[in-house]
Amino acid sequence: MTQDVFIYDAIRTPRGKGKPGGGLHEVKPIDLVVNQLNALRLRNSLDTSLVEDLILATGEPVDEQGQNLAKAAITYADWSDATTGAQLHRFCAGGLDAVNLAFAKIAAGIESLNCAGGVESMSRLGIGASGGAVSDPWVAWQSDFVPQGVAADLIANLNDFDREQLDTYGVLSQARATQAQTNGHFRSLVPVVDMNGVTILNRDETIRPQTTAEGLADLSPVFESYGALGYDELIKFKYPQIASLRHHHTQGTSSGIADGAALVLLGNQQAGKQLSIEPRARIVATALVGTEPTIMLCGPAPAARKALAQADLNIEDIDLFEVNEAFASVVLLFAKELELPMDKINVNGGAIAMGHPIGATGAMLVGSLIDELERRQLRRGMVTLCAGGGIGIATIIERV
Amino acid sequence: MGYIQLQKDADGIVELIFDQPGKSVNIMGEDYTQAMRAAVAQLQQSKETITGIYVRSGKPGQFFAGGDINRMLSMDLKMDTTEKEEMFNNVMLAKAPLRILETLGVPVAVGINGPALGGGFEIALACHHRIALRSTVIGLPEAQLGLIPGADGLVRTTRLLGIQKAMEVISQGRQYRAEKALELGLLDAVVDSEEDMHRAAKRWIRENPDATQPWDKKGFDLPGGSHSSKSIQQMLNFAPLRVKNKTRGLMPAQQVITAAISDTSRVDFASAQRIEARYFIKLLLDQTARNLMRTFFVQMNDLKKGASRPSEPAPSTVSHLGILGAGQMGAALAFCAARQGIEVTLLDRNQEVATRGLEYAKRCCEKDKRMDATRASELVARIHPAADYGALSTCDFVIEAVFEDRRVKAEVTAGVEAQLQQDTVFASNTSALPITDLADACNRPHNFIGMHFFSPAEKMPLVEIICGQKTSQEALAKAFDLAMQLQKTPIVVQDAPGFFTTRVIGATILQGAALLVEGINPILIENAAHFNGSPVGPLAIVDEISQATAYKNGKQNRLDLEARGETYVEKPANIAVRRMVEEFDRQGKAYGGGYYEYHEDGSKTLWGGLKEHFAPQGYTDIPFEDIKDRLMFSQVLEALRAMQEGVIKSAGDGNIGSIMGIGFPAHTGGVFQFVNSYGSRELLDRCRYLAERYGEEFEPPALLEELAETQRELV
Repeated sequence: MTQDVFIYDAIRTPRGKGKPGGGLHEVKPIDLVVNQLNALRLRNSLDTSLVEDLILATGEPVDEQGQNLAKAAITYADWSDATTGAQLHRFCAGGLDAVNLAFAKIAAGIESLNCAGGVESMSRLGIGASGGAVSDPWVAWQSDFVPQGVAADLIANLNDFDREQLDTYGVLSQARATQAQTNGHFRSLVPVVDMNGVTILNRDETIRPQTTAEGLADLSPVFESYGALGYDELIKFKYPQIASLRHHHTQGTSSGIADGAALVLLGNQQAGKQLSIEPRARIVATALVGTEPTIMLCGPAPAARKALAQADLNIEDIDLFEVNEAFASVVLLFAKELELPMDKINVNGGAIAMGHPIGATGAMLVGSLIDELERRQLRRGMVTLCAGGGIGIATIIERV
Repeated sequence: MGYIQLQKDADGIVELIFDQPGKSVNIMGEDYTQAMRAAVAQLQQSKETITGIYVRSGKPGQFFAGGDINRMLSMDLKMDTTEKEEMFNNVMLAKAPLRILETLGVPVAVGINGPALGGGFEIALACHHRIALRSTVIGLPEAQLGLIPGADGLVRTTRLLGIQKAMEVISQGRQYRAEKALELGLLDAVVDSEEDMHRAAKRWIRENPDATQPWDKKGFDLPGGSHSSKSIQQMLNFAPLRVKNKTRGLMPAQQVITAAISDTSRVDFASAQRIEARYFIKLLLDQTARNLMRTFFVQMNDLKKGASRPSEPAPSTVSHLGILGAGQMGAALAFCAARQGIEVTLLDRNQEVATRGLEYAKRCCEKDKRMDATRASELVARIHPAADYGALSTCDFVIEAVFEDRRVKAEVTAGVEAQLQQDTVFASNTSALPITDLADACNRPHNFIGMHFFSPAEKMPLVEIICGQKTSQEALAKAFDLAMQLQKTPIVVQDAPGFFTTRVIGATILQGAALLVEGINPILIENAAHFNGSPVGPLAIVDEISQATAYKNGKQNRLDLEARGETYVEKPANIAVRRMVEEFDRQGKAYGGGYYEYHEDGSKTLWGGLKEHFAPQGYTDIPFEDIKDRLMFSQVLEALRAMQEGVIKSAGDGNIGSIMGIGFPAHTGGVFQFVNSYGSRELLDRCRYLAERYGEEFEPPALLEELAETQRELV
């Protein structure tokens, strides 16, 4: 018998610029997590011995972000020894998948109170630090994997999204994020502090309020050089209708490289009562889909449909969507396929403006969505992300 | 006498001598494995009394030829797991003695007195010290037959040269002269005589009692870096990508080489041996290797031995070649002949034009990096420009390479023949004009033959020899011999419109136009050809030939047909070309653009107007596989029809001609081997499907029905 699962809290760090010189570059991945663990405990007067599991996603589970970062952080943050922990990798979907997994275990009646989220210090680990099976020659031959930016450009080509449409979206993301920041809409944001409690970073660092369409039009396509390495040719094995790929995505229309962490506290009704905390939302349905792995970023729409079917809801029943802005074409494709107006999607901007700390983003979007549903007094929302290898993920939540 | 003899000298050095009974060269087959296992077992037993081992061949000028290709070809491709396991065990058994030899604890030297290719060189790699005669060649050519070395040659080359260099050596499959191999590190010493070789080998053994392979020493590091090196990681990341794009994923061996080198260099030697064996078997049981072995080994050997040449008269050589027409083809042929030491008279309508042909030869010399100035000037000096037919009177063979026009060709034929000796063969170089008709212009049609060279002739290896109705066997034999003398690959066909190669390539060009007229997205048409493995798409080919020429030829065809009282039916290909020329004035690349637009940077893109004019209502949607098959099958069926009509007799000639002449995808093993590998029954079914949907040109010819019925293979 399944139980209702509630979100009792959802918090995130600000997103730092994911390069040396970025506001969170000096912070170790484990300290990003511990900042969040401390905040969660403090905000909820949490008896940590009641938290059964901490599931943490990261995109580069290696070196200082490696092994079982979750359990290491629990001990280091002086949470209860009774809390266990696990590391999870589902590329960009990891942060949300951690939440969904924690949800599933509670819904199944296995556990009562779990914590889930993700962390990524891209400024310290970079992209690709953990290698991967797909870079093996024999595996590569059979897999036709391409860099994500090339896949994003492929989406744009196949759907006739031109440079201008993408740039327009890029400007929108910046404008929305600027407004949300200015008006304090990001209520789930918790500043990162040092070992003395001194604030290190308290706001999303990469938003560019001055962004204009003209400015974006001047940027050069980022993935042209990747394509020229041979990936533009490789995609034709599966997409022979492409004569030569046109590269449209720039830094202004791709998610930024960022540092950050996020946590979500989930539990059944009884756990909330035991802790005397009120639920903020309920998880209605979750979905995972696999899609064609070369283009790889088309998962959100089918994942959304699958989640809706599971919840027995229609697309109109969802008031707001957080679609991770991995690339502008991913969001445009989602809106196109589900025939959605832009004023329901990413209303406070997204990763194009604020960056995409891979393993953390999914969990961050849960917090952002709850914040906005509460602010607008709306009922239901959906978080969805595309992820490497052709993965789509979605979660429907409703306020209670 | 056994395969291997062991002879011990006074110093305690055992000579291990390969001398396969009843063969002129040593081959690595079942009997090798048995003999080698026995020999090595004997060496193990008497190890204490041995100071070293000297491996050599007992055959004069022949070291070891490699694997037994015919045996590999006879294996059933469809094996069950038990059979595959047995095969794996056998491969491991064949590897074992070489590993014992190199780890026996005594120095092992090898003397390479002749070609050491494939398996032969793998034996050498298992020896600690490799000495070769300067005159010999070594190499691992397995990749060219769709295989990898299977006796640990890949494992040892990688450990010897490092990941990157090993990839080059094994994937290119080149034969190296001894000097070059020494430079690469594949050999340790090069000597000038067999005696020096034996002496040097034994001296090295005496001086190096503790020799071991570098990879068996403690603390061995892979030369050039291992997987932990960033640059190696990056190389291994991009190598498969490059290979896949370059081969369009159609050459499994090339992909396996990258993978097997990567995989084997991550593990210990014994694991590496097993990994190599697994990949080797994977390839051995792959259709592509089968295709390549049959065509490029068996059939190519037959061709070079003269399977399509009459057995009489005995082989002849040409010492003085006459060439008519000093244009690009004539000049290139003059260069080819002079390069082989043949005196050439290069004739054109006046001395000035004829002399211009020399410039081409000079340019060819300049492009050849191995040619020094002395050799170049000697070569050019062998070409004698002339303007008078009389200059051809002393030639023992004449090739006409004038403009492709029946009247022009008839004129020069008649003019020249009068000057020639009674038995001089007169060859016309043409890609399509009927030889029997051209022969009408001469009095000695038995001496008249067609030789279709491909442009640029100094590079393209194929010659299509066309016998007219009256061409004699002597003329054919002489034309064949000349082609061989020019280091070309000759195939023999009978006279018929388009001969063989032009007819076959024509079929796919027509199919490309048909697809376009049907409203198929031209990008899909061109990419279908690309992913079939064709070097150029059917639309791009027409641009090269030019729509203008195709249009003119079409008109001529129509006149010819109507003159014979037949009705002309406009085919899709004619529609496409007519519209391109008449309506859109896009007459080809030479005219500024055709199906493609040509840009200043040398790139080209499909002309935007194609959609508007050929698919105004939007593109017609048919399966991509159908487009691919239509472009391939049109050629295969045309070849089958040509064979059915007796235009071509030898499947080998057809396979080699299709690959080397008109770029039929090499991985298929050629246009007839395609039928074998696809399966005649499956092909028949698929053709009926295509015929039903796309037209009668896919109706299977009777020959295909017969093949499907009898399950006969075209070999």
